[in-house]
Amino acid sequence: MEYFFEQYAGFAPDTFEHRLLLMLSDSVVALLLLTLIFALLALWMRWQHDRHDRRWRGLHALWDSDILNVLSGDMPPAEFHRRIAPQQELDFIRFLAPYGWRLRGSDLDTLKQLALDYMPHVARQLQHNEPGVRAWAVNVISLFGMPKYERDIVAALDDESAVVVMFAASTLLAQRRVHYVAPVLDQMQRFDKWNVNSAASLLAAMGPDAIPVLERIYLDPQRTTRPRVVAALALANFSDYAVADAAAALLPGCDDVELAVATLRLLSKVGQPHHAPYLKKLCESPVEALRIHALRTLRALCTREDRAFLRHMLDDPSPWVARQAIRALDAVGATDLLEDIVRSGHPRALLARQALGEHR
Amino acid sequence: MYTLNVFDYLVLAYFIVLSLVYFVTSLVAFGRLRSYSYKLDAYPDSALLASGFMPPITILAPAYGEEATCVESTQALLALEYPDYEVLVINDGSKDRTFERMVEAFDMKEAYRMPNADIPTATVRGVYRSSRIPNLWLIDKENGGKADSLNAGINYTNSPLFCAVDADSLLEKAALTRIVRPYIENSDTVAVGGIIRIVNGSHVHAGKVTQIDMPSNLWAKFQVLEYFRAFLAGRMGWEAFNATFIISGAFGLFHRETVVAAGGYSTKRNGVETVGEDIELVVRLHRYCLDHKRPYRISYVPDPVAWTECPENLKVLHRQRSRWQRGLLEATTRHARMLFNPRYGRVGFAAFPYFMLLEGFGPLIEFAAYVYFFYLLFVLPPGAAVFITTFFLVAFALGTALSFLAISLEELSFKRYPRMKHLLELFLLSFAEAFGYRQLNAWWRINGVYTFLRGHKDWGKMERKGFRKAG
Repeated sequence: MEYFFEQYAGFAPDTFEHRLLLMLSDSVVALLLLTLIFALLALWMRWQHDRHDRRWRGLHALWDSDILNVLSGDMPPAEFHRRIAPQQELDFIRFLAPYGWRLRGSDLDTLKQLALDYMPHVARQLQHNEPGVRAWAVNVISLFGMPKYERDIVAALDDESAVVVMFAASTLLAQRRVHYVAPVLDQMQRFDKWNVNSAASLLAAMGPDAIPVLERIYLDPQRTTRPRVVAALALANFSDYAVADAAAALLPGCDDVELAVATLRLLSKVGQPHHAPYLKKLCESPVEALRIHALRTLRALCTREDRAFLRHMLDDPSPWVARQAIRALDAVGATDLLEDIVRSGHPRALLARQALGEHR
Repeated sequence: MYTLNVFDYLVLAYFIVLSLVYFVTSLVAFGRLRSYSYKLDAYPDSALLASGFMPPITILAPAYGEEATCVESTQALLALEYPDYEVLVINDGSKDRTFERMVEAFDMKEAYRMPNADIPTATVRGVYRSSRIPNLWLIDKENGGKADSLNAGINYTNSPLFCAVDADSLLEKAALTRIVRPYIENSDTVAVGGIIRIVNGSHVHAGKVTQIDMPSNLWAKFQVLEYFRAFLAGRMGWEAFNATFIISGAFGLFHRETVVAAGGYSTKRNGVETVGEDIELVVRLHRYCLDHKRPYRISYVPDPVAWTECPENLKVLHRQRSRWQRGLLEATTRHARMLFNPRYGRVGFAAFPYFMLLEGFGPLIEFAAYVYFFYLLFVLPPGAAVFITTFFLVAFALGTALSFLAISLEELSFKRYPRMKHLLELFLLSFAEAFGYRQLNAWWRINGVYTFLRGHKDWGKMERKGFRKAG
């Protein structure tokens, strides 16, 4: 190559141009070699994928009919165990998990029985460096290893990975044990994008035994906002009237909008007429969202005596607050007042007409 | 004897830096894809869905002149697998019957929905809700463009996350479950992009890709390879450095509060109108978070979450590439103070210069090099010809190596093109694209630079052939 460059390129040896040309020509060879390596890599990976798929298909072919036989009672679980080679233990759990997600009741119990011998292997995966593996382990334990491995799952609540914590929280709530409510809720502050409504529904599914714990968390000023918000929403799901007075009393000093809105949502379910003054006070808040929620909550509590107040709220600069006021007037049966508003050409006349129109 | 001049050095430097960036991002992407595939096996979508903690999402689908497809597209959006989501279709003052078709098909009734933000937009004429499907809403507004429609949608979004989609993209059923993963894993995430794949040639049934195949059109085939390089190698690599710069307008998930705080999509009402509103928003999110010293992450999932139809004729392809180039330049020049600004860390020192100077203005150097070297071949002594030929051989070998690397990345991750024939075809395309397609691309991008410098604002029309129906 050097000879070629000297002859045809006319670059004198040891000049920069000559050295650059040599380097470029070496790069061509190196890059073509790399191309070949990448091509072989792609082919090798395809082969690996195909081999993996074939292996899984083989295992499925081997185990699919056996699992159906075990589920139908035609084969004892011990017989199935004998067919699983020692190096196939985690594969077997991977095979079993999708069935576990789909089945319930006695079928799931049979799967648990099948999986139980292999659970120590799964529990060891909770110490794995890779968060994905730890998350998988929590999931599998949730399916097949509860309540035996409950402690491991509680420990997983302190995992640094949000996904591991999320699965652990979900597993513990599904156990419907009240003493897990506080540790799970305390994690909510770490992960502010978790769905608070779903979390509240999961808590509500625990049954009324959870109410005292939820009340304690909700009313605890030392706790952060998120756990208190979720607790408030869960209490709303329970329609916990006992907490209503404390909730209303919490409003005047509450400068956290998220908690105040959750409290208003709670009061909209459990509020009593004597809570109305707290709500009316909140209708003066500079925060539009609070005024809207306060009026929405007030709608269920106010009476015809509150007509003047509601009429006054129609002058609120926010059309959304005015709309809540109209709906509240409608709820107390102030049809005559709504008709007056329509006739008087009040700026909110259109909203009043809409409310009247909905009755016809 | 031929001696190198300043321009030769400039081309050489441009080439070396570009190659290094491509190689580094591709190699980093290897690690990211491996780890992602691992996670996908470890906790499948079903496990995530069963956890009960998935955050609510609002899908924003702007529609302008979509009379023929709006009902089918909306039905496809309603069929996604996700526990808690709403669909907001925003009719951007369509002149055809888009609005009427939506109202008739979904039994839309006027409804109240309180806006949560006040990003300036064209007037909203009404808000409607389906009386049959409670999570479907329609916002009818005056025409203001796609970015304006998205801003209107953001104003009416109640959930912490919103997903911006193109009306003509096909989303995978698990698209939301996949794209939400980075939010679950890291609370600081403010935006996530997903991989867009080319649907040409594949079979589509009821808004779902049922059989994946390579396109029959040569230009579309080249684009399949390009998308591999851009998404699997480029974007995944930049993601590792938290320097994602582009989230395609076809599918992206954003944290509402952060986007609202940053001012929403750029339009003439709240700033400057741009054809690259998707890039501009991502750049602005970087800037906003860094200016406010807020920990943040802009992420990418390598899953092929959305499918789109690519242009099959040169005229439309030219228009599209020119527009993309213009969009990139508009977005980067608007935030030019980020360039080499220590305040913006690795974004200011690595990603921004790369996208603005190398990707944005690079085609000027690339095309000038083609012209200049071609000229030299004829007027200068053989030394120049040998030098230039060798240089082009390096460029060819490098381009091919990078394409092969991108194909390996696809094999490592998703292997969506299942037949061996597809793999061999992709190998051949990697060699072939160096002869003509790459040069055309450089020319189209030059055109984008030119239209940017001239201050053009038009979008150009995208002609679509329609999806290939499954038999």
